[in-house]
Amino acid sequence: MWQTIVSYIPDWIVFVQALVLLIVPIIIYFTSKWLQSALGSLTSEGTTTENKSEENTPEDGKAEAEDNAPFTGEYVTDLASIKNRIAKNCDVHFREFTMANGKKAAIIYVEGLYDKELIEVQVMKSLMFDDVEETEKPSDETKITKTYLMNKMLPISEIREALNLQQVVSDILVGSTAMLIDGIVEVLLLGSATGKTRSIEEPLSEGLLRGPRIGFTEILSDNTAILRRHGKNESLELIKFQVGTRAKKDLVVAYMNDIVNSELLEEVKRRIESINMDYLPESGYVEQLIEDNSLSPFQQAQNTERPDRVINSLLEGRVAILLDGSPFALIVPVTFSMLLQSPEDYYERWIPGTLLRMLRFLATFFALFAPALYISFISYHPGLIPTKLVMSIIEARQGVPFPSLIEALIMETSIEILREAGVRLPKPIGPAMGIVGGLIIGDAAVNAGLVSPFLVIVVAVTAISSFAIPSYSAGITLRLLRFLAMFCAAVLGAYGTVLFFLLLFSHLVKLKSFGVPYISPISPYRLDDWKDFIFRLPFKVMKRRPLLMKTKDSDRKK
Amino acid sequence: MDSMKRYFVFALSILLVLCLTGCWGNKEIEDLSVNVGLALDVGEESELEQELAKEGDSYPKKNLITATLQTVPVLASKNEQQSSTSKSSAMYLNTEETGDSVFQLYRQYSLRRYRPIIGHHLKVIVISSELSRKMDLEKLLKFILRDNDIRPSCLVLISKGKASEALVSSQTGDIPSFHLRSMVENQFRNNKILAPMILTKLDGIMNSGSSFVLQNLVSAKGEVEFAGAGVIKGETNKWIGTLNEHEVEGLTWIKGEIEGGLIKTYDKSGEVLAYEIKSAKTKIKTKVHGNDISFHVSIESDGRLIENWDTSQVPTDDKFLKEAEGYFEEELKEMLHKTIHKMQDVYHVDVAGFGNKLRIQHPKVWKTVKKDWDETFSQSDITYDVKLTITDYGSSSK
Amino acid sequence: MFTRTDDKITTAQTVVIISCYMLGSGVLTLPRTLTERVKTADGWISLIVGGLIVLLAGICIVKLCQQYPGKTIYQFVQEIVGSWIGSCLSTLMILYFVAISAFQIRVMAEVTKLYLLEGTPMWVIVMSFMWIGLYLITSGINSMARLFEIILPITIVVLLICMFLSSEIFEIDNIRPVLGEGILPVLRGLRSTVFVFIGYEIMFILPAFMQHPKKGVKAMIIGTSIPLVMYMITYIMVVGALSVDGVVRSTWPTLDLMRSFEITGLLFERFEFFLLVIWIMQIFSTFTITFYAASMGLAQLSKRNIQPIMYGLIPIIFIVALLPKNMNEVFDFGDFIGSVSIYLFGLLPVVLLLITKIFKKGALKEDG
Repeated sequence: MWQTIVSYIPDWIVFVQALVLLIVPIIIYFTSKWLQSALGSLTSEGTTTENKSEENTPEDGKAEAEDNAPFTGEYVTDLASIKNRIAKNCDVHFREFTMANGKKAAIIYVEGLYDKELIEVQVMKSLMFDDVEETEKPSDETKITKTYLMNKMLPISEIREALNLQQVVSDILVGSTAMLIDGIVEVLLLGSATGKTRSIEEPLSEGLLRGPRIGFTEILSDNTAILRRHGKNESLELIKFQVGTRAKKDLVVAYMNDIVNSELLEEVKRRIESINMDYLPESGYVEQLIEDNSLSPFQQAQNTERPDRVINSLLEGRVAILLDGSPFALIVPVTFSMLLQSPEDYYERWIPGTLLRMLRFLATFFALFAPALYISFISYHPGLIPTKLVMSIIEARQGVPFPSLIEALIMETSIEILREAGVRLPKPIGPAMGIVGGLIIGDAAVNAGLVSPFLVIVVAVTAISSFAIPSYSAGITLRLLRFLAMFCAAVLGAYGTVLFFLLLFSHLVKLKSFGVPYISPISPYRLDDWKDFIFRLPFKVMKRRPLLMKTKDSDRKK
Repeated sequence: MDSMKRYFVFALSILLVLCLTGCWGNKEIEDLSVNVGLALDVGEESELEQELAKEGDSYPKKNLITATLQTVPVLASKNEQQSSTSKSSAMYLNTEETGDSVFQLYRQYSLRRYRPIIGHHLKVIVISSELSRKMDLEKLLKFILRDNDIRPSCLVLISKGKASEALVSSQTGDIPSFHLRSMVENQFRNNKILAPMILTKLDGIMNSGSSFVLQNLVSAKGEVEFAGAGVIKGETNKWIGTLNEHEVEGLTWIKGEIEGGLIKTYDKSGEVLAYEIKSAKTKIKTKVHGNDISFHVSIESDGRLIENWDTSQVPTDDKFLKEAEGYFEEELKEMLHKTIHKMQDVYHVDVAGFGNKLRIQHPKVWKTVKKDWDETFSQSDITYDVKLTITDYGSSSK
Repeated sequence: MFTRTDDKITTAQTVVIISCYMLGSGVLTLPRTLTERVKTADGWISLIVGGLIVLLAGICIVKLCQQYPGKTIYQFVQEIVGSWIGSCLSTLMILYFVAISAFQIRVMAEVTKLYLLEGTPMWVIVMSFMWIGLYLITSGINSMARLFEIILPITIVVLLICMFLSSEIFEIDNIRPVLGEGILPVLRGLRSTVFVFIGYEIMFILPAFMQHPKKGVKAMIIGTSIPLVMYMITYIMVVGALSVDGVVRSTWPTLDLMRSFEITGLLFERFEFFLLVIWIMQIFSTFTITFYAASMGLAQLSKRNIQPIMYGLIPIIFIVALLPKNMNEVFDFGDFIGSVSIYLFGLLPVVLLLITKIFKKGALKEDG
């Protein structure tokens, strides 16, 4: 009896392995815990509120007090204090003149940003020449008041007034023209920035054959205007936030107030308010600062240049975030299937739409697994390839000196470099270089015996597939994961590929974007949502908004 | 339960790559030679082997089996190393090894060729009738059945002459193993071809202890032909004789394996008459009366009158068609008779699946006679009726 | 967060979990183990009968759990039979779950070693598998359910396609006659069929997580019938192609079926790869569920946090998985688990249910 038990006690090496088995995940656990605390997770609510209180740290009490002090109304002192603050800047100009009534006045503007036409024709002209009509001439000339000016002398729609230096300075610097008049306490801010802007163009990163050709631009007001223009709709609400601690920028959250789930909206607002960053140049910053999991390779907000896509999402109950200075709007929450959908699916009839979607799912599969499967078949499972193919592969691979992993890495890396270079190449030589890079190098590599022709096919199919995905960012993610898949395949063959698949999906099922499971509607099963998933059923069938959004108003039809 | 370790993704994969850079069981495909055919003969060392043995290649063995391993592809650089059995222009490479354990013979291969052999793509096994007469088929195939590489979809054939000759082809660009494998698919053209016997089926049949037939091959001058069938006795799993082509035809009719083919006969004036089978259906009914077991085979077939040399007769004439049907039925009955005679009286084996029918229709009876079925079968009565219908006469009515 | 964050699962998810648990190593071995006992081709009838029996036991379990809403077996067994016996029973169940997950891993590793990764050390195969399993279960039953919802449809579709393709070598004669030797062989097969339906015991735990525990019986019925149909198709196709005599000779008959045909002209000639892929996924699901059930049991028994327990269990499962010294012992191990399952989960729920009924009635009378 004892003998049998002893014979079952495993070798010491098994215990060592068991120890490794235990220790590795523990190490990973603590590393990740450390990483998580270092990165600061947004999902935990506690940490976020602290940021806000720290926002207004007094840096220099005296300067602050000076900034907030009201103007005196004394022309000379006020002008001096403004000059003192910003005259150093070469692009800030001070134009002093005397008004028709003899009062001194000054216009302060930033070169290139101010509305030249407006200021010269409407302001200066009226102040300097068109003296006020005799009849209404105020009795006492010194009593030209602010109201009088605004009512009678300045035919401009956009006039604001500022009481202290801080306000004036910051507005001047973003393009308003300030007017200082002797005897008036308030400084008037005229017009707004009219710097050179881009006209509305077709979205570059999301071209469509059929559908509106309009794309967002860098100007927030233009973008919101485009959204407004989608149709008569009172429920579209746009709330403005200011983000960035040093350089403040406008950020607009757009949603349909009678569709969106209010908890979702609150969550979005909370996360935006908790953004703590001195400057946000692009909406990519916002995306990364409000996402649930910074360590996931998957994006948790969809970026788009297309207003039609934004509107569609809003009608599904999602929330859009637009940042001034960025032509990319963010849509949250995002699900994996959304990344594979294109607005064209809806513009085309439902049968081709469905077909295109299936094609994209297939492309995703190829983009992820094609090289991995190639490696595992070539290096591990020659028995799984059809016999005739085995023979031709063997013949084709004769003389290839590398194992399939290295071979695939060479090709995959060079095609990634090619893609990266293609983005940067000047337009006239781009296609030419593409041909040189793709065709000639590929052909030469085969002829030189570096890689086998089969691999070139695999790599080409993979590369094309990854561009078939409508969302560029998702394409990048897939390309990244493809390399991981290749390594898994190189280590454990097809088994490794299956494990990679399981790992990937284990990660995906955990991932949430603003509380919505990332892989919905695949799971949990919501059959109603499947109408607009791999299939795109006719509109007559799609009567409801996505259930997963838990919208206030679920019917698309009345 | 906050979101746990998502970056396990990264950490794990990095870890995998770092720790496990050694790739186990990893063998690049081009470093392997693919075994596509295997021929088993009675052990007899080839000239080359004898010479090698003289030079000192020897290990303890009995020279029971000579295995010819056919491997592909042959690469240009390897031409000079080819064995004597294949021409330099051939697409395949045959290597002969003599010994006893089939597994060992496979492994001996690695002593002679630098690219080790893999069995995943083995297509055909040809066994010489000589060897299978001497040795239990199960012993020969045990390794093949157990091996994890070799697929049980592999085809098993019997060769009347030397099995290794069946793996030689005189046509350039032809790989004999593929050739044989594809030829089996021609069942729809000729009913002298038996349904393919793959290892899976063979394994089941050998385990059940019933007798069976394997497609027979004859070869001459580098050409291979399917000719008849080798009969394997179930009790011993050894070869006991062959059925000729005519009897194989009868057998396929009884087994109901007809997918196409023809019946050729002569009319009363000795002119050729041919019938193209379009469909065929065989029913076997078993009757049990006490200890007497009898079978009734009824065959129905539709077909086309495809060739008649007697030009005076026109197929538009119903009388002639009836007459022709009569000839064909006669011929078929003759065929069946010969086949059954051969099975019952010459070889005393049931290779047509009568036992199987009995098992299905009278399971209880089967249990009692199962053990000595071949003998019981030889004593049982077999009757048959045949009904052939000529439904059309092709594109020529004259 | 506007979606629920507590670990509740929908009824569909419960169905999926039960099905995924049941579809485990049995897919590859069932035709052999069943035919070895039945000795005729009537195994599929045994499967139906076995499935029904298991369903009954499962319904008993669900009924029992419904008496204690929101509690798992580990929590309420002590209320029924007292803390001492309760703890013993819980420990037994935990050991049982550990044994199953170890067994599944071992079988998976053996098959992988045989057909996919010859020459790779077993511990590499097992370790990588277990880590990914751990990664999944640390995020709780909700994530697991979602993953299974992806795996199960893939499994069903691929399995059906594989089986459909194998009809090329299917011979109807091999599964005839039906009930040729009477009902006795069918009964002989019952024991091994019950083993492939191991998985119904998860309903001891699941109702505690269900959004609608009332639908437990429905979930149980659907959850059992999916694997039942799958197993039946597999059994019929395998026996139909390999014949009764061939099946008993094959170690992994379903794989042999896939290896027995090649379809030229399709992109792939060989389909055992697909079968292995879905099979590994199914093993993964069975492994993770049992792993989770065991750690949940330990956590609730010791009233500790579940996370460290999950980590702690891996080396134990690993060592148990490596205990059997050869294939025969692996299969014996499986048989042993099967018998334990019958006693532990076949009889126990009935006994517990009886005790509860009597006890509750007594309590009711006292109240009145």
